Amino acid sequence: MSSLDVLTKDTALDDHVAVGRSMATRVTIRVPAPGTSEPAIEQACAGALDLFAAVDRTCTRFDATSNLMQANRSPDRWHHVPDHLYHAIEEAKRAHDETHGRFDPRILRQLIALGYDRTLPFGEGVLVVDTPMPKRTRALEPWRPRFREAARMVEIGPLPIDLGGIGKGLAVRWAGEVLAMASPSYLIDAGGDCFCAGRMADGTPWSVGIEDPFAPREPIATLVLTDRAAVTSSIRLRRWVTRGQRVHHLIDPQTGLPGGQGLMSVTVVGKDPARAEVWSKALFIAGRARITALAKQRAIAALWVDQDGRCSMSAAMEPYVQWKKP
Amino acid sequence: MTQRPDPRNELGDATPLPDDLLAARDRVAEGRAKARRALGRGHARRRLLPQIAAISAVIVTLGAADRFVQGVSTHTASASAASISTGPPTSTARALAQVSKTLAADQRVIAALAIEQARLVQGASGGDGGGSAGSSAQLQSLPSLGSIPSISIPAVSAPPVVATTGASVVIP
Repeated sequence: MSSLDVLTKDTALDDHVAVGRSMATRVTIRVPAPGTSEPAIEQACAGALDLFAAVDRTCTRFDATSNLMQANRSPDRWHHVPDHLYHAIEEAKRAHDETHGRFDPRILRQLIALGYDRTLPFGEGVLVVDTPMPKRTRALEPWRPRFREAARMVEIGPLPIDLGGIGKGLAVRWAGEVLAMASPSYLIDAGGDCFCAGRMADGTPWSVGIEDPFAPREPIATLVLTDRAAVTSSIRLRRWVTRGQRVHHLIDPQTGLPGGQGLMSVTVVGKDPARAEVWSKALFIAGRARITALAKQRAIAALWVDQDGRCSMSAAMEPYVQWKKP
Repeated sequence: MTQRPDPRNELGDATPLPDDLLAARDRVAEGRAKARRALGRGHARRRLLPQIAAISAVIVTLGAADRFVQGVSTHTASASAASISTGPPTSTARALAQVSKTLAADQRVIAALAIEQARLVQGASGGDGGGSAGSSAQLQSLPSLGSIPSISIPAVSAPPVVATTGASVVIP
């Protein structure tokens, strides 16, 4: 059964529009209609959405039967895993190294300790989860999973992992490869993760809004993108109250507690959606005091909104910003 | 016919000059004296003035130099116009040549002053030599209104978008 729910035509923009659901969010794909056939686009969109579903099925932590959770039960043993999960763990290891440990999938235990052990009803008022506030933990040693590529086997290490910080970005990357076979231009919008290939039907770059975390119906800035991903890590929705303390889902691996002091959201633009997702989280974890220096040091195109509502951006972000809220 | 300035008129001329030319020359001479005094104070400034004072001096100099040059241009034009009706052609030409020479000398002094001020700023801020050269070049070529870049004012409302990146809404 295909994951494609709807395929329709946006006559105003002259796009084919496919909509599906995956990874607990709505996935929308746009492909400019000129020069494409509807059956080919339908097939490509269905394939891309099926890919989202396959990544979700194998890499989710919210399903005890997923391949990831099966491996997480005995993470220090070797496990045969499907291709998607194998590559996802490989990519997570690469991201861990590239960010010098700021991205660390071993924060799963802390998320569970905070009460985020299942899909929670975020966005429906103040969410209270009655669980003891976990204590600050010591920084972990560098993560060293082991791989046997030919056999598609992996040994995760002593601690279980959560691929939520990279899984959707990888799904967008791989879905883009499917769509590219049908059209050089397309847009994938998977909640916080977008990828814009080529241009719109009228030949202009894709225009993407960045949500204002304090007024989510309005953008705080708009971007013009061609062959670029835009990914946002935000605590507007995924936050809750535990024993009187406000917490959220972006855990600082150095402390085991919610990080990103002073920030509400971070958006990163880059060529690859998975790397953009990783860096949006790593920059968020850096917090308001350190994000400017880190974004500059790594030449990352980033825009962030702090808890006072101030919107700032790195120099590398400026070429992409079409409009910013005054 | 080309008018060559009389060497005897380099420092003074017995031929009476029109009043407005004399007034212009006096003003220019006064400006030159001020500029020289400012140059003389350069070393003391470098030692004594804090960074903010040096930067302020450059800003003031920019404006003053601009007004001075604009003023000189006006005086030159008015002097030329006046000479047509009031002075004998030969003596007027000599006077004009002398005023022009004085003006040129003063413009050199102003340029030197600008360079000195830029060096003061550079010394106060501890920047490298490249920055100093850039500052001098900027000060010598005083901006005109036409060279000021236009500023784009962002629209108040956001342009339309086809997608939004933000917190992903949870769909059960």
